[in-house]
Amino acid sequence: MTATTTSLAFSVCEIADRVRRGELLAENVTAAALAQSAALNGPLNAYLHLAQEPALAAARAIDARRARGEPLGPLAGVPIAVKDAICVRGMPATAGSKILEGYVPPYDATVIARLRAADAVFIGKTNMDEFAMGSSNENSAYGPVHNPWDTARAPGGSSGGSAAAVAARMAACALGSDTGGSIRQPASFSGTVGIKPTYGRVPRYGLIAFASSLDQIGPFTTDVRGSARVLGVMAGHDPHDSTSLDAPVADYEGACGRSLRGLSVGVSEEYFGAGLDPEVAASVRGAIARLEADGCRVKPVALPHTHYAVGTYYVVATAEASSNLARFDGVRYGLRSFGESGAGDLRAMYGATRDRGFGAEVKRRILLGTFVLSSGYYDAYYLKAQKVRTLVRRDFEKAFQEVDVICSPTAPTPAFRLGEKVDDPLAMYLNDVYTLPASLAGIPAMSVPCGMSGAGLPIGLHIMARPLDETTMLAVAAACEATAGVRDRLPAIATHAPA
Amino acid sequence: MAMNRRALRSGWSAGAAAVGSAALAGLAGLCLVLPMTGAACGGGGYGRPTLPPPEYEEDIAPDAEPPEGPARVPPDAGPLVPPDAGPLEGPAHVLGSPRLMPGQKIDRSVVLHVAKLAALSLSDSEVDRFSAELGRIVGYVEQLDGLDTRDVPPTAHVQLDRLPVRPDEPVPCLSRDEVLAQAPAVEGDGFAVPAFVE
Repeated sequence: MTATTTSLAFSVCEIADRVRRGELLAENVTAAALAQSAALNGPLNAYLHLAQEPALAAARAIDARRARGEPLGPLAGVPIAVKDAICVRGMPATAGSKILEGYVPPYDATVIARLRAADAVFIGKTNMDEFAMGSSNENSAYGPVHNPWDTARAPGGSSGGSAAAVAARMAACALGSDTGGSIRQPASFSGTVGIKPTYGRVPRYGLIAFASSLDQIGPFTTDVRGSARVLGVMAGHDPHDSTSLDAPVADYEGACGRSLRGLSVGVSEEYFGAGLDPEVAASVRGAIARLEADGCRVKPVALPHTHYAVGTYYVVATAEASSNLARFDGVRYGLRSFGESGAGDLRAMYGATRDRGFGAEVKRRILLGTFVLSSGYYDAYYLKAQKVRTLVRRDFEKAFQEVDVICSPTAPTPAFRLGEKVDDPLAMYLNDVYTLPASLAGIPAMSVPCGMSGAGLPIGLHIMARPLDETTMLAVAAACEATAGVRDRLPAIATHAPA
Repeated sequence: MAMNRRALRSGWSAGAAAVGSAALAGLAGLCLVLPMTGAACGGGGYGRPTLPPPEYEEDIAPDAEPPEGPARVPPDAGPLVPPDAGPLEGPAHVLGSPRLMPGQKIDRSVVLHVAKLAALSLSDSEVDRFSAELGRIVGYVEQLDGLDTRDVPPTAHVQLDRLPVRPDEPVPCLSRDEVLAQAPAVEGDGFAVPAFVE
């Protein structure tokens, strides 16, 4: 095997540390990731855009700086794939929608600028549910992503392309955005690590907005330490995002490997009720038992409003989406349409542009969001949901007086089949039942692989923590990873690609 | 139904009102003067979601009693799902009992009105499809009515306590040419749109 092929097996930290030490060329790592991406994109459809030349040029520049003896950043030469909702200067950004076809952002999102300054290499833009609305990637205007573990199955959503890219080693890291589980559920379905940070921890400037009181950007990686390092680079206050917190950024990577002795892990039976796949339940309970063996105390906690989270979320998120998506009107970027006639007034242009540009799920959510905000219904639905959101937050505040983290399944089942839920929006929404409460409460949460199903599909452990306590969450995740025995499992498709 | 019709007509028209005036902040991160549209440049991107007050439309007579704020669902409708309904039991449980308030059924006219507010042109088949789907989703959402929230404050946003305000100083922004290069139509220094003023 050549260095080019073996570099695909390296984690984020292994790549960066070897490039910094001069043991590995960034150009070779990038070339390997690009080759793997090109070879597998046919069957997986994970990328909407591959930035072959810019990525290689960036990698060569990093190698040249190393050759001159200049210091390199903590992500030197790490190939990163970026969800298509996040703006990278000079690369298309469609957010999975026809309405943004052709849009090329003239600026970098804050997270992109920070990762670039840390010497990461951006290799492409990943497929996603349109405007991040979906749990299976079937709502992309550019076709669904296929799960690398079984291409007949969904990779999860909405950051499905990012999850698939990391699972199939097309990139060492990928960025996603999580509004109600859009990083954690695909991480669970694809056997990768995925973090939704505390609300406000990572700036969203340059993320195409879905629901502003919920959206957070986070990483997918093959291991916990890699996610911790990437999170550390992205986190921190940004004057361009009025919701970004100015709290100090902790040593996330240092938290990985920390002893769990004295920590208490909460387990809520609300997350183990009807609808949970027995294999998933057994795998997650096994992971919790191993945490106990590592020195944690396991305590039951009550989160009684858990089952109201789906209804609450689909009011709050659609209301915010209906407002955020009003900016797509055919005036300043992307698609402009006048419909069949090809001409008309301004209002006809808005309507035709949005009719042609938006897919069914986006229209459904805009309609629902507009409905719940309309004055006859505002109190009954939107205000009511905001109040129930308070109850969900209080559940967590009370539970975190008793325990340091709360563990649950990330998703009720392993990856479901493509097409299985596509005609039933409500069934699709219910798939997010375990990830939505943490989103509503704004707390950090992540998914870490904890086992495999009998059919060979990954299962994720969901870890939730107190606001801004990513370090404890990561310590628990690293311990789970160390004992789960699935870290080096690769989907078969990832090993078949040409070198 | 009359009350609901009036309430809907007087509804918040965020979708329609914001179209054409939403800012670039979330997508392109800056404000530009849009001389061709005459539209104001608001804060449409990342920031705190701000909801405009309800707008009341034409068909409220001047001598009618003043609107008492948003109309409410009749309080006597009762909880739709018992408070102790237990955890979710999956779609079969939900879809088997779509519960809608009397007079609140989502039908074609509601979908058409909401679509108008949201500046969405829909085909006939879409209107049918969305009427049925939204009815089921709203029926599911109504399980929230089983919770007593009279003394609970709403959460619009979490954790707003550590948010510094940046100095109000002009800083460089994106080049006008680069931004206009993304537009479907440009005239002079602005975005070109069909004429809308006589």
